[in-house]
Amino acid sequence: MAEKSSDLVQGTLEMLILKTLALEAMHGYGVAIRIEQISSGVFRVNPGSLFPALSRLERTGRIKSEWRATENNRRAKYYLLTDSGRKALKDETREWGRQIAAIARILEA
Amino acid sequence: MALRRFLSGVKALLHKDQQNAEMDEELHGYLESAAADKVRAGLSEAGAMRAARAEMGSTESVKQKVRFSRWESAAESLWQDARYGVRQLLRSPGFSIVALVTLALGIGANTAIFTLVHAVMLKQLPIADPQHLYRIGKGEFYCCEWGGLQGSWGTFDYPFYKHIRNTNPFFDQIAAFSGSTPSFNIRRANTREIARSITGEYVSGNYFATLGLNPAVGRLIHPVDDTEAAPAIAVMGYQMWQRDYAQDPSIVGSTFLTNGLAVTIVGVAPPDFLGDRFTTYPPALWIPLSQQPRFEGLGAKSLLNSSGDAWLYVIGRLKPGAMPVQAQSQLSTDLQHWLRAQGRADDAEQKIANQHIELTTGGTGISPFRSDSKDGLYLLSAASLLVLLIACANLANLLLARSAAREHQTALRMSLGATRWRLIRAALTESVLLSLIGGAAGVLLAYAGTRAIVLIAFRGATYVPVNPAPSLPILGFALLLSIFTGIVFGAAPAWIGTHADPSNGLRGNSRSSTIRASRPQGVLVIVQATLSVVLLAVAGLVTQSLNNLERADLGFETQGRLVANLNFKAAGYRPEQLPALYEQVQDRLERIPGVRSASLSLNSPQNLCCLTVDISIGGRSESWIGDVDTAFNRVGPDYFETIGTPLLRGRTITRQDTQASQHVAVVDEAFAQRFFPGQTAIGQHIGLSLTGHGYDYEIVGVVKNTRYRSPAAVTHPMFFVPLTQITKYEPSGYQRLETGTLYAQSIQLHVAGAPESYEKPLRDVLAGINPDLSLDSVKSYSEQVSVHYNRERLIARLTGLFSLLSLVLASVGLYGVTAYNVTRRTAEIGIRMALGANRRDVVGMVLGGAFWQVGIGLCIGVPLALLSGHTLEDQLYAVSHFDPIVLGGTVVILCSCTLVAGLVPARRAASIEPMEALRIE
Repeated sequence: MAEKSSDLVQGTLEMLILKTLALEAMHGYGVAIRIEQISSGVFRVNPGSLFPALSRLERTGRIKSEWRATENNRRAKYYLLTDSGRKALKDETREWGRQIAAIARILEA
Repeated sequence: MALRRFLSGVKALLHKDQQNAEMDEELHGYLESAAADKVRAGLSEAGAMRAARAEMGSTESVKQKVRFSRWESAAESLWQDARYGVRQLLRSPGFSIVALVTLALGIGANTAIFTLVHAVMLKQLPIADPQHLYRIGKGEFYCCEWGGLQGSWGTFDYPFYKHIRNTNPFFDQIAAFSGSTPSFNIRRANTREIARSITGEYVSGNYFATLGLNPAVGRLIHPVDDTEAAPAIAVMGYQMWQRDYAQDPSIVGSTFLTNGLAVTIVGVAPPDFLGDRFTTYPPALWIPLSQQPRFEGLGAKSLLNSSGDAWLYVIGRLKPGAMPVQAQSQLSTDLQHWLRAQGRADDAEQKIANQHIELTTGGTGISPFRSDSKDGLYLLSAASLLVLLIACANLANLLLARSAAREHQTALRMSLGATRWRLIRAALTESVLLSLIGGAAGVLLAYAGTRAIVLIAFRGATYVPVNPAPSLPILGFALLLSIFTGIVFGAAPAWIGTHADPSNGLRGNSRSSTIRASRPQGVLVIVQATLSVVLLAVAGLVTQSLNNLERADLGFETQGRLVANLNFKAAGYRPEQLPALYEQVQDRLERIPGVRSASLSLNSPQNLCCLTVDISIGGRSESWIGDVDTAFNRVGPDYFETIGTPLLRGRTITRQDTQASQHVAVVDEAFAQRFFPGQTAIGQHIGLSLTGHGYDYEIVGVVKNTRYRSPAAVTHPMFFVPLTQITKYEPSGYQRLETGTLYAQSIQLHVAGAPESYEKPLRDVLAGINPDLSLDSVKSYSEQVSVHYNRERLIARLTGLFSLLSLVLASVGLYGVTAYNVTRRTAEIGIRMALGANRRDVVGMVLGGAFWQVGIGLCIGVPLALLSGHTLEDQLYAVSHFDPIVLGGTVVILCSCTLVAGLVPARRAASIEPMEALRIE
């Protein structure tokens, strides 16, 4: 699986999930597809990492879940960003930017 | 956040099924969506579903990953392990019972000893913030350290206390209390109450404030009470208020006659406060320091007003942020300045520079009992720990044997995917579980054990300062010890037992791996033998020492004698009334039918001891004479006859020795030999070591040496002067000594028949003379001597018990291992016998194996035993650390146990039928 896709940098999956959910509430598969599409297939998230990450985020209160009907009228568990999740996303994004800039500086030096 | 995580974890545990169903549904939905996408991309429905499944992997493994990311999975698997452990324990009840009994004994022994250690050494006083209370000074002295330089100071005189209280910058409060706890006769004024003899303590006005105590009723002592002009007040102890006055609130404000003086009780101390020291005589009355001269009756020459007589313990609370080290050096400097300012011409400057004060912890109170018992308690702790270690070795052995038996099962579990870590955890959970149950039983056992210990340790005491009921620290100790024990005995078997090769699980019986378990078992048996040798030898030495103590020639007779303590001073007598009173008491006592003789004395052997003084000899000026510590006693007529000390030369003290007649002294043999070697002591003159006092007393008799203290203690040359002859001295300390010692404190009867039966007549006679004369600790002299060895007896009995326990445990362990090995080697033995070994060879082989292990244990244990004997030497009386009887006995006992433990399996081995044994294969 994911032969050509890259492994995610440790700890970034949760940030990506938060970012994805910041646009709209989604179910698990939707999140996985959206990450794959936006990253143009670089990142493929398999369920074995996705669901534990969702569970962790839910436990820490950054997202919450509710059962809703899908577009083709099935029941699915949708995840929504909470206020604390929104704040965490902002913090992590800023921190990520800082680190990327620092790494870039080192690589260019 | 953490709380939310915890709560949702609990919720998940409670609604496990629902959660599981939801997760299934969610994952199923994921699969369907993924498959639908693939159909859209052109795959057939069946192919899309297959591909989606392949991408996701098994739903179970995804679920597993989600579960592992949550904390409750750890709790859940621990719960699984515990349930598995309980099932294992129930499956082999024989093993579980043996293990639980072993653990209960081991943990119980340690918990009981810890209860003692906690009460004596660790328990904080029930005061505010005990951690910040410091004692200024170190060591315990009885009243009074008499003027000398103490080196490291422990008690102080009143002027110095006032000086540091007023000048030291590092302390918020500095309080003082008397080193001795004098006894008082007290009764409520204007009632028909009979006087009670109680213990009291003089305390400074800020004493209760420094300790941070609040009264149960009324008020406590305030600084304004601590002036000589203030009205006489006192605070009563809660126990006394409860026991003697049924918590009568009208006690507060009422007047009590205390040693004949009217004192108003202003309040009652808090219920749990029993004073600042660990003692069997806790104070029941607290009196301001400034009132001390009223009770002593010496006015300007009283302790309070004298300088140089160190009679006060001093405690203080450091200011926040003050460093103890700084305070300590400031106090030492203060002390040296003070001593120089006192102008002690006879003290060399260099000596003064060595005087110092150490700050020690104050929160646990002051306790001579603690310093005396420390070594004994360490010994007992070490002994009980050894028992526990031996118990652990036994259990480890049992578990090893069992894990060998379960090897097949273990291998199967591993081949089914259990990780080794998970198996180790399961095994440890099981052993900790076992240990916790054993520990709970141990706590009950410790409660019973401590009650028995207290009976031995405080035999003859009216108040026992150790509460055997398990308190929170005791329970905490037992819990930690149980967990620790479970890990100690479980670790090696868990490690070795899970070392299985999964493929073995499928292959069936294998023998190679059981050999792996037998080597550690052998090592454990050696360890047990070693530890048992040490314990047995130590118990032997301690018991031998006790026997020597109990059989030592004390220099007087204990049979047919009764002894009691009493306090003439507290009954209100003045020194000039005493000679006539003593004569009256003696006459009346000798008129009791069956009394052969009666006598009074200041001190009596194995009971009250001793004042040491320096003496001078008339006509001699050698300087060494004044440097010999000499014990001093005052006795009445017929004293030596009554206690049965043989007179060697001259005469004893008689009724003709009065203040008006020639002042006389009787000395003991040691005194005669020390001061008059090769001369006759009789006719020589002695006195206290003061210029002009060398001819005060003429020696008229020499008596046999008598042991006033423990035979193990250093003895001093001793002299006796009559209770009725008094010398006038200039220095206040000498004068106080002279007046104080006129009051006899001990009374002795030599009787026909059982001494105990004379207690009632004795009490009646004294009550008939004066109802205020109350007796204290009336005992037969043999009981009094026994009580004196309470501590030694406790240590000897307990180490004896512990060594017996360890011997039983080690024997059971040896038996278990030998029996196990015989079973394991059944086939081998069968082959040997088929090849011509006879039954005797087999017995020899099995016994040889057992003796080989114990032999190694002996080789390691005997030197260790010698070493422990060496460290114990100063606690032993007339026993050398190399005691051939004790060591020889130890070896013989251990070898006999080996023989018994080895013979049973050896005989079983010998009865193996070769053909049957081979068929087992």
